[in-house]
Amino acid sequence: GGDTGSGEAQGSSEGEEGSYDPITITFSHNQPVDSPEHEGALKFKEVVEEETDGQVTVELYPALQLGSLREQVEGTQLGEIDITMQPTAVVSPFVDDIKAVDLPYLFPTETEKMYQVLDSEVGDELLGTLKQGGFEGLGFWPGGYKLFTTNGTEIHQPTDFEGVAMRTMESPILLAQYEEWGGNPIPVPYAELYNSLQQGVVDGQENPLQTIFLNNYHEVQDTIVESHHGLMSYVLLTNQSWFNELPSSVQETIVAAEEAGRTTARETLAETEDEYRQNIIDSGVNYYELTDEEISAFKEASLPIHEEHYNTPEQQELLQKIYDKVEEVNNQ
Amino acid sequence: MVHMKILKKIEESTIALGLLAVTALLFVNIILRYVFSANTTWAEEFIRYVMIWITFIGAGVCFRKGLHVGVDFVLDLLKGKAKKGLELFIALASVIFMVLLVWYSIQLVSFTRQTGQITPSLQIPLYYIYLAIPVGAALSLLHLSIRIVNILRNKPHIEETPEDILQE
Amino acid sequence: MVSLLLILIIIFLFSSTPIFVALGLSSFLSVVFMSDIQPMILIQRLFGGLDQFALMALPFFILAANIMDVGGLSKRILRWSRAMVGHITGGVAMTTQVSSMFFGALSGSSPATVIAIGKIMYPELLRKKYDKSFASGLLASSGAVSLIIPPSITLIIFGSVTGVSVGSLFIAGIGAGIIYGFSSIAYIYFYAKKNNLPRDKRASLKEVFTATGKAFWALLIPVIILGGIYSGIFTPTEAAGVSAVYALFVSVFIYKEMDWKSFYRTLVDSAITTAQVLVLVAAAQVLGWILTRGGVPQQIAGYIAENIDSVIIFLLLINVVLLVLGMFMEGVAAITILAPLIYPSALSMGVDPVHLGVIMIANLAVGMYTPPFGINIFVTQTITKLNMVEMLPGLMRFFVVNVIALLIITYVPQSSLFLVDLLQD
Ligand code: NA
Ligand code: NA
Repeated sequence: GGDTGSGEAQGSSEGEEGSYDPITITFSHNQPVDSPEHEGALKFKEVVEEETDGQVTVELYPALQLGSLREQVEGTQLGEIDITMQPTAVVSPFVDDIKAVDLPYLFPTETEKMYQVLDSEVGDELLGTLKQGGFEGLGFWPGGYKLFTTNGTEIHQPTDFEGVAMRTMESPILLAQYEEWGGNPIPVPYAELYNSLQQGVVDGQENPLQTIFLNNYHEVQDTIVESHHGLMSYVLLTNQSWFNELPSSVQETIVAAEEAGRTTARETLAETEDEYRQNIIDSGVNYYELTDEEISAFKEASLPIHEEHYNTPEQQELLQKIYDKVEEVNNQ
Repeated sequence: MVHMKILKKIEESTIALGLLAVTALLFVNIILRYVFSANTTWAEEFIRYVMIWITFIGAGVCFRKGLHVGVDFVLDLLKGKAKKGLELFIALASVIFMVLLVWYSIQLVSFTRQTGQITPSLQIPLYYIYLAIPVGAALSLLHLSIRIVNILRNKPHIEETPEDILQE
Repeated sequence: MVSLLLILIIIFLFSSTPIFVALGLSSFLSVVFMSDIQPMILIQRLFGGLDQFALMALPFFILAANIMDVGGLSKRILRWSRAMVGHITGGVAMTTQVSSMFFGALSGSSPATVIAIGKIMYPELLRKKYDKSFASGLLASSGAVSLIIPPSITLIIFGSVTGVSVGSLFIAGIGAGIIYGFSSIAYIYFYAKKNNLPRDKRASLKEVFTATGKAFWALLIPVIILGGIYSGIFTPTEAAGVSAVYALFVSVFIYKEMDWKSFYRTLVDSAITTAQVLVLVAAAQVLGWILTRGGVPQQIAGYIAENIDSVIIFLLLINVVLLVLGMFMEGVAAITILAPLIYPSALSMGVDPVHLGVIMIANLAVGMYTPPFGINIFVTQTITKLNMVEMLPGLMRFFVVNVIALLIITYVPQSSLFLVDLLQD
């Protein structure tokens, strides 16, 4: 890993209070303008612009306007985009350690507890690994838990995946997850997914509620399972040297705005998820939640994936810290 | 010119084999999926990246053969010295673009090499793919410089006749 | 930055510089001299323009079309279609249009459709005394229908950035695609009638049988492709690859018209055509990115949202803006940028979301072959070897006809929505 511009932090912040040239922040993400993610981004913009009296402005580029997911991460690394919100699975080819977030059944299966772990010191430590790629990670933004959707098969236990062709993102961990459970993972591109489900090229897929609902995957799938098996979690990334060279007052504002934006995104997501869940249920698909016993069986079957794919000494150490934190939160 | 013949062979066989390889892979992958329920998970990525290499090597071949598409009507209207002048202008514009491509793509290649970005499926360094751009642009520069010499000597584009092809 | 960019593009295009150099060099020069953007990002865009799933089928369709051509499949299909429709006024040109519509049903890629159909139909059109310009215009415009007829990647992307049902969009796309296709077919009929183009003598039943028998293995290609896709055996991209492998098999083992040498040559030619087309796509992506970064589409959409309050004018403006932008931008890029900007104001004006999607796609389809910049034009040039000026009259004919179809699609919402209402209630 490289260390693009670390070191000379905060030197420029020593001047008089508030005396810096106007700054424009380029903020990109993938979601449509009526998404919880964009609500959060708007909140971020509002807070930054208000707190700095318009001295800092935020230009939002939603809905992939500045390129594909990978290209936005790379654009941030290059310093061409200042802030981007991207799924951890897309960031892990840049910084391997961040892929912990995509391990199945690692985090608590209750939303509030899951956020508690992500917002804790161990979550900060995970974000800190992004420095290896020249990024400053500001926080984990929500996309919701992923659900299994299938056609013709009811999933209650890992072995039910046998012979089922499941579409996943192009990520080794997600592929390994279904292999471990006995399924046949296929990385179909996002743009082709609706057709592939409709025509039966793949039998099922995993995505959060809003992706399922907005892309109408429930039109072409007959069973949807609330499995809580994994997170669709975004990291809010900035270019590290850009961030370090900002006046410290602006850095503080950005950190505060990030928290406000993240909270807004989480609240909005909770509301929309309730609405989308109801709409999906009303559409008449077979919809159910895994029981606690079923989840335990899945958790058991997922531990080898954690071991095998998060395997350097540093990763094992971090993994243990996450296990400890999860246990602490679960036992509260 | 013997060297150019060898280069031509290398360029053409590279892109031809690339296309053959991805077609075979696509086909084998379908069979693996249905007969063995065990398709490769990296085929899609591999195909895209080979396609990108084909494009940039092929861009050089298109300069050699004068196959790049343009809005040619002004060129077709001109004759004699004016035509020669415009042909030189076009070749020089292309040279400048290729020089810029080589320059900035090498920067991007070394940046991605340094930051260690890998590809999601194949898990190979991404700069292996980015390298297609400087390599293709450098080959294009080579073909463009020959083209410029030919314009100055009033030689037309080397259009290949069916006989040339059969002689290979 | 944007104004320098546009001036440079015009200068370079006018001076016959290859289009990909014109777009790419103008982009680099304006970014280097007129902005503080790092030029390295343009290399990323050049790469990103090609690193797209939507383009993957293209080399395979090019290869399949070339193998069919060299291996004797195409000529047998031609003789068969001649026996079937040769006696109808405008039959060959109509066949071209209808084939593009069918092909569009398996491919989301407009350039791939132009190549696959054009390679086969262009010589036949000339044989039937259609003028070269008319034939080129027909190829370039008929290929664009694949954007509208499902499956369409552009419609899927519209659905995902706006949240509109992809299923409904696809159904509406059928209606719109048929209107678009039939506007051309009606025009072809009048054109052929007026110019008194030659017709073949009606083939006897025996001749039809013979032609069908000889073309049998070649005619299985659409069956394999369509059957394979709709039964879920493979994706459209895989169908392209399978058709290439199948065509190779038939050429070598059944028709015995291909040897290793001609196969190698076909591979080289297909790879070169792939490069010829894809460098244009890559350069167009760079241009689109700079326009976005320069705020051009955003400003246009903002102006529309603030200043227009009549639905009729609003839709007309959308048509004009999309046609003009479609002259410079590629479909997927244009939808990604414009759909989120136009969608909210369209909803507030009471435009049906599915209808909006269809209008946008139909506009961009026309933009695929509108000069000065249209991928379909350049791809057609690789087949017909005509320059843009020679193609212009033919392109304009179909432009006028398809714009009429566009107006019907825009102002008679039921023309595309009736199928949706019919099938989804
Ligand atoms: Na289509
Ligand atoms: Na156009």
